[in-house]
Amino acid sequence: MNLKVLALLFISVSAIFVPSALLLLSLIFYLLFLSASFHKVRELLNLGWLWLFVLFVFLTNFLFFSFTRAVFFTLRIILIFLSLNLFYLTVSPNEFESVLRELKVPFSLIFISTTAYRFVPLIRKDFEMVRNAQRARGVSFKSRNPFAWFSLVVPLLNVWLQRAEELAISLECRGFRNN
Amino acid sequence: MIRLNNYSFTYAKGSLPALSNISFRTNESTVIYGNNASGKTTLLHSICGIIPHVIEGRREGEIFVDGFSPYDISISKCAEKVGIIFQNAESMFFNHTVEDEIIWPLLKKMPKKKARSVVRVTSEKLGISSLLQRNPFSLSEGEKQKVAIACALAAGSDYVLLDEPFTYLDASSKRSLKKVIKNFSKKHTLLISTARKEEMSVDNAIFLDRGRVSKSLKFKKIKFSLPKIAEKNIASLRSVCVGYGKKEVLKNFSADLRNGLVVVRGKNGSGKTTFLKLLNGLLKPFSGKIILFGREVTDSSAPQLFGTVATAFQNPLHQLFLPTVSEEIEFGMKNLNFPEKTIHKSTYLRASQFALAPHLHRFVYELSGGTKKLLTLAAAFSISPKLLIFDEPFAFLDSNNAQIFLRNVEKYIKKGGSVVMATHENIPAHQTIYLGD
Repeated sequence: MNLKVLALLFISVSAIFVPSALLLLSLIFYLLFLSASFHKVRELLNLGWLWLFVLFVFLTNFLFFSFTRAVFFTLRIILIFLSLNLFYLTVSPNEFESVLRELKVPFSLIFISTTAYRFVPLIRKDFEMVRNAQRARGVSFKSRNPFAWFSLVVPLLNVWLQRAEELAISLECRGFRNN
Repeated sequence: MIRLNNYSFTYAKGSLPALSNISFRTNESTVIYGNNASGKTTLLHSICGIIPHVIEGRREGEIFVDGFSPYDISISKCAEKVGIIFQNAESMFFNHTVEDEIIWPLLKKMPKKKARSVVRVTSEKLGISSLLQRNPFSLSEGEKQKVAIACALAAGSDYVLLDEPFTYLDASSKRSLKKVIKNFSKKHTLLISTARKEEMSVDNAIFLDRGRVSKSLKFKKIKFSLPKIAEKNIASLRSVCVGYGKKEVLKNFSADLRNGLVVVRGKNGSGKTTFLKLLNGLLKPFSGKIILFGREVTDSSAPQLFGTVATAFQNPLHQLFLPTVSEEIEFGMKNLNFPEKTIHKSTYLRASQFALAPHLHRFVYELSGGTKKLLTLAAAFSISPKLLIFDEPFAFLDSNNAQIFLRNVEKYIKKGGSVVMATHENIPAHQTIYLGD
């Protein structure tokens, strides 16, 4: 049984339920400590625009509720993001799969989750390609034009639907049903 | 033995038959030649059971593979005999390593140890042993095709169908894939579909023309002559360093581009697309200068440069998003606030030049892959920029469509426009830039 995967799964899930801010904070430090042992601190903290979302959560909670609530929720969100990110950075799809297998998760569920997991980098690549193609046609994503987002979403859905369809057909052709 | 008896097929969505009255039998490897939308993929899908088990439609006549009809047995039973490899081989992978990808269908038939040795033997035969621990998505297109072939062969398929395997390949990976085909075409029955004339070791061939078998197919030699024009500098790159993240793709790169037709050549992964992205503003260099038509554009963004330059990328699916063909052509001109009258006129002009006039009010998703590609090319031409940039414009195009495209390029250059394209295709050019090594 893979302890690393289980520990990370446990932290990710507990991030949602832990009731005290102090415990959340200690878990965040524990994550940082863990990532340091993998030499991945910088990548772990590199959440990109998700930090803006964290700021947004803090500000709305601070303005509409109280400072304590804001701190509490922000820590919780940070812990969720960091634990999932560390999970993504350190657990290979194969490890993930073998753990799920040992936990006796049904095969179809394992297949869906690991395939989704494997497709994250591909989805990112498609996103970049489509964004580039639209910018080269004069679409600016800096403006607040909803049409610009439309030009991004439609081809992406198209590409992903095609990917999903081709994968499904190819699985059939490779005898997937026999399992 | 693959045998087809008066086989016809019409897609549930379509009104015209995709294949009509196909009869042939073959016991050896065969190349299937045919233009875009001639029914090559439909034929392969019919033989491996995708039609009718996954894709539905109306069919007549019979197909037999080794005496079995793919209609009577389940698709997974069919899969044991016939393996198919899609044009885009990547879309078939879902495992983390090449080894897992090949071993996966074996594990339910034999113990792991034996499966491992089958994988080892197969990969040695194909010359992909060194790839076994790599992630299949990180491979080059040629390697992906080989891995997909390995998957089919390891699974024990006697018949392997390859759907346009050469589309994305550069010259050297093409040669190496053809060698693999040569080695396996005797022992196994390979069916290889292609839209272009290819030098191949497989002698047996059938020709498809608009859904029918024809005696032969004339591959018209593509006519293209370079217009004579006075030389003039249009763009310069001065000691440019560029890349993604920390990885540098072009190091200290300098080049002067002249007007007319400039062709960028190089292996897959040598930085052709990166080079084009510098010219249309999609990529900012780490250092160095880019000058376009006498103006420094190092810091200009792609939407700012659009109008002076127009680009069409390799995969049309990445850029088409509007419902109809005419809207798709008009999009760029509307973005640049062209007057209504010009938009109207130019749309019709480009549509007729690119043989799209009959499709003008059709929905984009109804078009075939080749027509979609033509549409993205026409859309780039429509705004009449000073510089046109194309990334692999010939991918997805058969020789007829390639001819249409080149005729327009010729006309455009005569009128004073310039074209930069990255391609593996052998066409004459005013200037050639080699990347890598």
